[in-house]
Amino acid sequence: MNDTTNISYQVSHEVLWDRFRAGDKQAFGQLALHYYQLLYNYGLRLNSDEDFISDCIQELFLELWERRSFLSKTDFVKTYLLRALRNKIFKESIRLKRFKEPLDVPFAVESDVSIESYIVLKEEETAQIRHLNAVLDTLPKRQQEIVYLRFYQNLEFDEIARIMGLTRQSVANLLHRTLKKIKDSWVVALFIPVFLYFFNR
Amino acid sequence: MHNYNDYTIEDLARDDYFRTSMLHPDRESTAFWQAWTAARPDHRDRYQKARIIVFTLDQRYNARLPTEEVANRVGQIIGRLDEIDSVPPTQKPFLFHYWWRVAAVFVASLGFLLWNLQDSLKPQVSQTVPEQATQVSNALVARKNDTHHNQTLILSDSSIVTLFPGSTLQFPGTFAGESRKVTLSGDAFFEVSHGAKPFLVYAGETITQVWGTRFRVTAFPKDDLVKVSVKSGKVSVHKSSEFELPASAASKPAPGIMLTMHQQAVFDRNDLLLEKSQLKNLEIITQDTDLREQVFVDTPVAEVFKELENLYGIEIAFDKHTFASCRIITSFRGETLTERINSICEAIEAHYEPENGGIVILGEGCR
Repeated sequence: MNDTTNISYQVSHEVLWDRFRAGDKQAFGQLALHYYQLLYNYGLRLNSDEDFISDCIQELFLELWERRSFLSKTDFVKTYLLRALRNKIFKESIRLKRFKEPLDVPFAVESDVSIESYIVLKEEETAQIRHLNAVLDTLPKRQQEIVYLRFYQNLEFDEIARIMGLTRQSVANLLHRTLKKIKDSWVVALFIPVFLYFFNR
Repeated sequence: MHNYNDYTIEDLARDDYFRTSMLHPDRESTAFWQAWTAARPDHRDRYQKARIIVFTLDQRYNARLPTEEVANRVGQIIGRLDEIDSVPPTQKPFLFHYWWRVAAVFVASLGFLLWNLQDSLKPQVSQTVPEQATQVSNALVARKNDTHHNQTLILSDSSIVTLFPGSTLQFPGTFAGESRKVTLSGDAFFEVSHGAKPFLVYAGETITQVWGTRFRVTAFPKDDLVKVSVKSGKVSVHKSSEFELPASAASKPAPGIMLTMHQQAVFDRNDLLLEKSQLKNLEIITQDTDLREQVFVDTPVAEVFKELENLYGIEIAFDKHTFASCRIITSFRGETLTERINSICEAIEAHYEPENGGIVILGEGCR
């Protein structure tokens, strides 16, 4: 991430958060507009019922507004919102008996695009993407979530730990193990074509 | 953009510029990463693996709502806030609301009367304004950027100039005569609007002539080199000692060198030579301000203009009272300054005119 945009982004959202706590609807609306897409995407991982997720997000924002004078200052608006949504989805899911306990946490692959839609990809790249997808499928849900938060939502270890309720160290360990698994599988994936090439001669 | 040499696969896959370059490649970013992978043997492998990670995760998790749908849903949320606030600790009696309304009607009528009174006084005042305006517009304007951030100027032909810190641009309030002539001391990026008259940048010992294109001129008096770098279109660069405007179409073109996309001309003050080369560092012609996102939900237009002023370092003049009740809901990302201003003007039924490097917003206001 570009350093300069990163800084101004953090400052401006922190300021918006303060204005929102002081009762500024504009600031609140801007935060909602900015984070809606991201919350929706994350919510779909935890529950694939779109209506349910949409309701949860709306309630989350309305509750935030209602409790605005009790909220504290934060430098991590994104982290705060992601964790709040996660908690809300779990609470509601348990209430509606969608799953029994937080340990049942799902983590779904939901997507609007197919590999074929990326016209810039070469054929062997498409094969590698399918392969990596298959590797990710074999990971425990918790590790899939870490990969998602780290590489899709671009979060730091601390932030991932806060959202998932883990320690920073366990996030680092889990991610390290996950990346190792990916790298190992890469060696195999890259090795097989070479192997077949010699085998076929 | 910074130095990517020590970036690991993981760093690359998490880098915004890298991700955008992979998923939405353009000529500039493609050239940049081609150069990067060619620079060191191990770069190729890192690039390729990071690329696969970016595409895999995008394909796996790309679920988005249409922007209008998001705006719609946020609108619903905003619409319910009053409902939440209207459940007060103690309910106010009905009468309070009634008297409050009577008071509002009274205040509104008073305002209306004052407004009419002001209108009847207006003609005498406004008559003097056009004269002043014409006087100003023909004079040369010099703008110096003493700040530490970029400033944006809009010239009377709607050309946009990004003036970098420590630089001065001199230009007329309106372009009269055979050419559009500006004088630069320092560093500026030009987005010249297409026009019948040639656009001339006088900078140090060089003159750059264009009709409509995007390029950067760097000519600080203290430097040995004067540089002209082209992002798109065609420009010709001349030594000022050799340059004369063609008097007619028949006269022979002034000697100089032609530049096209990603080419550079460098004038060396030591040996007085003007030379052409391929532009290696494409960063210097990258304008990333347009990629910055701006989001407005029901925002007073004064605040919207203020944010545009901050983002682009441009001066926007408007009458605060006229536009006091205008509110904006919109979001920008990738739009240029003029696109952003046009879209806001459209929303508040106004238009803008360039004036002395800044712009003036003109309109009737909103009800």
